Amino acid sequence: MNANDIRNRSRTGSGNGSQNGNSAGHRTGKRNGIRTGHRRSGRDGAGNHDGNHDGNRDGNGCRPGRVSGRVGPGLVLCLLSLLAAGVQAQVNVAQECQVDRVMELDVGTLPAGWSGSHPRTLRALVADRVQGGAWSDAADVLIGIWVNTGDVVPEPHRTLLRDQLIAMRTELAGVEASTDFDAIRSTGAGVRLARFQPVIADGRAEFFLESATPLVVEPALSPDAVRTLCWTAIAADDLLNLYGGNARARALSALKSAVRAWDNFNTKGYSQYPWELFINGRGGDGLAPPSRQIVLLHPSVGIELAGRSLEHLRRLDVLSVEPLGLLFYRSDRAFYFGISSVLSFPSDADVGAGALLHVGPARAGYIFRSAAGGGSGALFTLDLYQLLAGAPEALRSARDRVQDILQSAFAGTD
Amino acid sequence: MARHLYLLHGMGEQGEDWAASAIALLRDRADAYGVRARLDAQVVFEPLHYGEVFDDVVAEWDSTAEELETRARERGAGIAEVIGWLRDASDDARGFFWSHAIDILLYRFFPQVARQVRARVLDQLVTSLDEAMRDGRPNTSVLAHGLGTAVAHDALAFLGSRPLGGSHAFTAGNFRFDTLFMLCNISRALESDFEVFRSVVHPASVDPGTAYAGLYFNFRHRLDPLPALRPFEPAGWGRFYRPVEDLEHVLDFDVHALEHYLRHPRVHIPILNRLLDDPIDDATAQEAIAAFATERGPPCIEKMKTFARRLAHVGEQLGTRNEPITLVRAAAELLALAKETADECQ
Repeated sequence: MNANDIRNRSRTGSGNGSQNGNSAGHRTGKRNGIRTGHRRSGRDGAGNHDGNHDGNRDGNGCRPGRVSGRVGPGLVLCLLSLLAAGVQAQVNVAQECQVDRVMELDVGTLPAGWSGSHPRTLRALVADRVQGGAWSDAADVLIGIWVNTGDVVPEPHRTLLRDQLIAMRTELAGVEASTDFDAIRSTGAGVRLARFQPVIADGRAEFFLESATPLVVEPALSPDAVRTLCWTAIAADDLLNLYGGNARARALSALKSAVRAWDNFNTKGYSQYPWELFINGRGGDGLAPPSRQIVLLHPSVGIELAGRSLEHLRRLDVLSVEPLGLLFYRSDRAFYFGISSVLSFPSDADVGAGALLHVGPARAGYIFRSAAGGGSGALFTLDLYQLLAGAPEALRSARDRVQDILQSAFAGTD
Repeated sequence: MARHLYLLHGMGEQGEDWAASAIALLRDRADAYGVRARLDAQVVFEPLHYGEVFDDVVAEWDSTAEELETRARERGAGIAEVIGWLRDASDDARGFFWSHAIDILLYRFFPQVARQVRARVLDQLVTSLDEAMRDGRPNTSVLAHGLGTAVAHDALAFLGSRPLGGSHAFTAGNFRFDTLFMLCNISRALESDFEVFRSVVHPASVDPGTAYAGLYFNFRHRLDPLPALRPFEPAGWGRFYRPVEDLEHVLDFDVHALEHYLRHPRVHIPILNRLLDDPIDDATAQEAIAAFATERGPPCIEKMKTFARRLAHVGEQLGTRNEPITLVRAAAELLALAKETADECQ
């Protein structure tokens, strides 16, 4: 299958406006000079939303059989059946325009006229160009096919879709012309990736709503027109979706990095009390954890080695409080360093003041205290968070208890 | 290629299985309308979760306080009062607060927590989207409930307006969800980094060039007090905005629950119809709505009436307030009231 095959695919008209049924493929004829063969309307090989007329009607529809100058019951029945057929044949726009429903069709079972224009066929047709990075060439193929579809799609729909295909091609060519195509492609910039994504609602598919002249695919169009419009739009959307793959991967990579940074920040960062969590949330942006962390009134427990001289050093169990400090994190938030002021409250010595150095999980500082009050000393603190392995279980079990209470309370109230 | 429905939970939920009962309910309803096979074949339900972020924060505070208090006592340092704020309330009294309402508090008033929630939700969402889009652009929708509506709004507003690592793959114009279903929408009450009525999270009937959703459904229960605070009432959102805001059924005392919303045909039929291209016609829908009206609620009618009046009162009070913090209190009150009434009925 190539572009010419698709261009020359057989098609039929539905000139009298009625929608023919599955057997209509047996009918041939000419419409506007285009050779006909297979019917394109209906759910060829993929469903059966069209009517099931047997093709006995000729092109003029029901023949009036006259009985004593009056319209005979045969004609009435025939007209009723036509009316019913018209209702049954109402095009299911969603079926023709929802990408998943179109893509799930088995291309091999479609008549030749349609199999060639199915989005999967078109994807295969442009695969070499896509593989070679010739995205605007791939767009050219779709444009070439579109301009040769004949008049099955009426105006202005025909021109509207063509213009959007050309706009896509122009955008792709613009990026291709840049010296750093791969880098730009990986950002998704410069190309409107969702250009061909419709809003399908209330029995209609609406494309290009952001433009001054949206394209509305509605049941009033012929089945051929609906399918041709939507399948081409889906093929174009498919091309843009392929083009956007690198940009999606880049976005996902950024998110994975952010989540890893949060994991590191939570497990390897310095713990935060509620007031610190509040303060450190201010002024940030984006999705990443803070790169700087203010330490504010942060209590810890620690050990101080204090004394008037080396000979008099003794161990003090202390409560330490860091009134103010500032920490800086590495980009992956797995390591930090910084400094804070610190007050040391031993159980059996005077309060001392000093500074605490943070280097990752290690914290050491120096406390100044009068000799009479117990002497100066070195301070080592433990970040309590590091000690609390398994702590979340406590909350989870509490939540489970509440859920149990709720369930038992509401049981039987339905 | 399947359609994907991403679900975001409300307060107090956690874990990957949180949506099991809601999904089962939708499947059951689909069965009743004869479209279960289509639902199973066409739609992939993808529950997203973020409750663990709140759990970890609270657990850290709680356990840090406990450890600090214990160690301080062991060492004779009298600092219990420093962290006493964590210990003031009894277990029963703070149960609903710690198990549910705290999520709202943390999300709205601790931007660092909110950012982490959004990062984790977007990670799950974009991982799934990237996988699903490898064979074409699938139809994708989001269903969010309660706190999840705020999380969904903020996360999608971010995704739709900020390049990720320099990539515009998911910004508005390059990506759009088919439908957003918002149940008990409190996104406006918890509005913070992104203005709800100015963000990209709107239907394509308003400013379609930046629309991050084709259609936007908003479901509200009149007795659910939470959406009464700064109610979600956009002006001029056009034909693709579909509000269903006069639900009044009471089949359970927890009228806020996602499942309670979903049980109403005026909620689940639009959802199923959007997911499956309108298989349920108007006549069938009307029949279902009429039949639903006859379903019985909790057995003690008088208690239920009192409950409804008290709920309405909570809602009225909220409607006159404008501070997001009142939502936290209302959430705890709602659940406590529901439990109290359910207890009285037994």
